[in-house]
Amino acid sequence: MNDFSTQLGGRGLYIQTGPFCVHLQSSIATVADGITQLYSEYPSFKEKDFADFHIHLDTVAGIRRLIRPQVQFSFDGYIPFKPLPLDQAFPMFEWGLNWCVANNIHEYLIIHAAVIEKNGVAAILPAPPGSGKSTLCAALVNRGWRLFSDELAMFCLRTRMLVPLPRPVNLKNNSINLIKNYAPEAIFGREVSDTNKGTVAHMKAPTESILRAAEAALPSWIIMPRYQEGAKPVLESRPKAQTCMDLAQNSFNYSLLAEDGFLAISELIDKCDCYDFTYSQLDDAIKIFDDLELPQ
Amino acid sequence: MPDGKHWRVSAGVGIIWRSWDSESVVYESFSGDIHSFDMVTGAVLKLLVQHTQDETTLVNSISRTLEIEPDHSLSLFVKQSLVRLSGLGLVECDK
Repeated sequence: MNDFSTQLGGRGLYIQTGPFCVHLQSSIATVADGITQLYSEYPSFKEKDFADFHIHLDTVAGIRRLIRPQVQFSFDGYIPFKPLPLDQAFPMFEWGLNWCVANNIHEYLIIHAAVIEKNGVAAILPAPPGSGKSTLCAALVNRGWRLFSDELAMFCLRTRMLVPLPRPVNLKNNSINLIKNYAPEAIFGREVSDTNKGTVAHMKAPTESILRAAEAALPSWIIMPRYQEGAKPVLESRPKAQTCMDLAQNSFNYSLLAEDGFLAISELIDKCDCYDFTYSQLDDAIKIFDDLELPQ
Repeated sequence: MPDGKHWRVSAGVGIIWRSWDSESVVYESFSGDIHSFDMVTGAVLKLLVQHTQDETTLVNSISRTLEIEPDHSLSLFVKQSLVRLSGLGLVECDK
């Protein structure tokens, strides 16, 4: 396994993730550890002419360094967030990179949703926090589905296809051990506690998902998952008009894209069967997903 | 009772229309807002996009389009739809 700490602490490391090249510089050890554990299989370069995002993660200078050390995220020299405790440096990289994509890339309609693929067709799983979206996504990608993203569905306005951005899956609290037990072969980064989401840990994207990061897919299903303790698995059709409204609400750049955004969302609704999905057991959920039929 | 006022799509409003099953979603290009409408409200707006109409004509047109009786409850539905569409700034009537 590569050790990226020297590069990250020097001129930085260029990492290709999906369609984006990220130039990351940081001398923070936990960032280097996270990159080494979770990004060693991505194409990476010491030098490159172009990067979509130039990201620095640095410790905050001054007396803070000694008392309560903090990490600061900067993107192209701009500081979009308040500093976080130093222990949260790697999660901050992941969250910050999501922010960079969601707020700066507008050749895609970007929706807050997980996306998984099998046999060339993809399911979009938009859902609010706490719905079990990432847990379900992590389970599915450890049972034969390909990871596109656990956070950002990217629908290309030019090709009208879903484009992968297979990065580590962000799991929280009880979901961490749940998935560690469900998929013992999965690789996890360090657990970080006391974040504003509770304890978080990132699961490495499966190798095949990383290797096939340039393969887009057709959208076929929009499924709103909801974890409910003790519930039997229920997959129910949901109205397309309401799903259209929900996708617009869950999109980061729909308003900015204006008419193009509406046409893109409408096209997704046209192409997909739309469902609500309630579940409590991951194996039940996998079976339902594996039995999904293609839209007519 | 219908009051003879004529209704039309508000000046400057541009509409892109999508329908799924019995419901419609409308994108309004001036504001960038989207709205979801039931079958009657969607039909009212669709008819007003085509041409200005008074309420009585609207009720009769919708009765024909949706194949439902032009009775009191349909008149009430149309009135409510016009209030909603007007409140959203999508339609306006003669002063």
